Amino acid sequence: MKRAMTIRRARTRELVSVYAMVGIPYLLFMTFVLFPLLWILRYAFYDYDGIRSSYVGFDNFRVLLHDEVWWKAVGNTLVLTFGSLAIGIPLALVFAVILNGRIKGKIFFRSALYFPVLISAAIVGLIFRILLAPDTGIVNALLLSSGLIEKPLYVLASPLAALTTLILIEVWQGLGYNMTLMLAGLQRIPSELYEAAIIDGANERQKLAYITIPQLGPMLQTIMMLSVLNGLKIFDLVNVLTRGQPNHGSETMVTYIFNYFFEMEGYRAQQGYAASASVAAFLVISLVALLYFRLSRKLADYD
Amino acid sequence: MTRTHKSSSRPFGARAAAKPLLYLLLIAATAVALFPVAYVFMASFKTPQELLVGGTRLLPKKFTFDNYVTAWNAANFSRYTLNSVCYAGIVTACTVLFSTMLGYGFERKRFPGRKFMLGSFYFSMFVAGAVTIYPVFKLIVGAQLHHSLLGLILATLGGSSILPTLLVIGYLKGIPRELDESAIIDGCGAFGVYAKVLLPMLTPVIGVVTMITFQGTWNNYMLPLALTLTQPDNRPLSVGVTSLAYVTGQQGMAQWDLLIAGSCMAIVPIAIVYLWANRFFVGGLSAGAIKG
Repeated sequence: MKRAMTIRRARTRELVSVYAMVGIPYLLFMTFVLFPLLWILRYAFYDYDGIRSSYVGFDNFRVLLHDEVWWKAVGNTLVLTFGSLAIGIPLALVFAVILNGRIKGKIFFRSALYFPVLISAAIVGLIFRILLAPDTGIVNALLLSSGLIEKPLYVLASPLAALTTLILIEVWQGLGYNMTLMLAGLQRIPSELYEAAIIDGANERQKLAYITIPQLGPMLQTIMMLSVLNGLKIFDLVNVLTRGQPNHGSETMVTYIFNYFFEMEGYRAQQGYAASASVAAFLVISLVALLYFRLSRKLADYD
Repeated sequence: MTRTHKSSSRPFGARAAAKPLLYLLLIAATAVALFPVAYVFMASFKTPQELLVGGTRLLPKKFTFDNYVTAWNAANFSRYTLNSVCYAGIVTACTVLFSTMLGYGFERKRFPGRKFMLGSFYFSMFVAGAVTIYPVFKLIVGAQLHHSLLGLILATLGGSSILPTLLVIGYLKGIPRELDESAIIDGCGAFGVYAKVLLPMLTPVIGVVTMITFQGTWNNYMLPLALTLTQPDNRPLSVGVTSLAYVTGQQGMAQWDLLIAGSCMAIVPIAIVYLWANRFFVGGLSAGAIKG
């Protein structure tokens, strides 16, 4: 009896100290992550401009369904995400395979290619504004002086060129990240596999196609999902470099939502509407996340 | 024979003829990766007049520190730098503390609510940040915390511990429980085990958490942008510098001198941290991708 009391008291004391340690950080998480999610879920069904709010059911979603700019933003987001994926992943694979080989100055090349990853995406946007400026930028100056163009290029003046520029910048910034992850994956491939292939008389290309890429598969899928999930939330680079212009030609889901929330760029604040767009964006992102879990369950034996 | 055998685990390794081509490719890629920042860095020492003319020169005609002086004194960048240092420093320190405590609680202890908490962490990895910015802004303004950096720091701490906690959990799984148990027998409480036994052993993962959190917070843009819309004095560098991109100077020209000097001021500290501790960056990011 007495012993049971002591055990219970010890357990209580343990619980108190555990909650004391976990409590404060988790409270912050609830306040600034979980509560905002519920807030969005609620106000998606309200007409709300920051001051007055009234329940409107699914009206916001109905308007959103026919909102051309929103669909343009969704389209642009998908183009940016999968465009940079289509160029960036193969490129990163090439450099990872090269740098996994016997190359002098490996560490230098790895670090140099990783360097752009360090910089804030917002500052990257600013750097490319500086480089691409029509009148003072070095890119135009170089092209003009080499005679390739006769008039300065306004790369950000057409939607197609703006999107292409954004994709290329994303590839530029993401290469080192993806490459480093792939290198980690390559180093996990057992060398016995290559030794066996040599004995069977395989050449370099066969080793790449039948050993390296299949063995790297799980890591490739992880990398792709990370790029997709982060890509769908793209905001910083776009907001600094193009502001969604010209004529919403480079608007993304999050820049569009941000503008409605904060009355930017001549938008009238409509937080209710922005909340419903947030829910829609959330659905798009979760759909991709769901796909990811489906895939990763297959890879349970990895790692 | 031995040579073939050695290079066998490395595709491309054996083909001597392809080597020069590979080096050419690597050098070209390095040039592309480094050129934008290198150009902006060199340009930061040009005079404002030279910047307005443009041209193809990489090195400044006349080497000057004036852009930095102007940015530091006239354009409030001293304030932005101080904000960035405080913001990233405090968030990083708290995140290290929080993520190790959360990781310890989740991995080593069983308590009511644990499953829910852990589940909500995994769930929020996919959604947090981008779409919930407005309610966060409302909360901070409602509590009148937007006048100082405190509001920004608290709001950032809400989400900054998620990935680090998962990293700590992964690392703790590799530390035998017998260590905790023997400490308990010696009379340590839950907090004692954390502080005296596990914290010293977590040093490697704390290094990783410090680096990724510092980099992430220093580079953070969206949240500080939203929370400082009405409080320009509270802006960190990433927001303060970029907010000048669409503001023209006195002669109706873009303020290239400020933009260029400011970009460098935002990049140089993180580059120094990287040179000093790049193994933590690389370790952190592969750990994040594999475990997360």
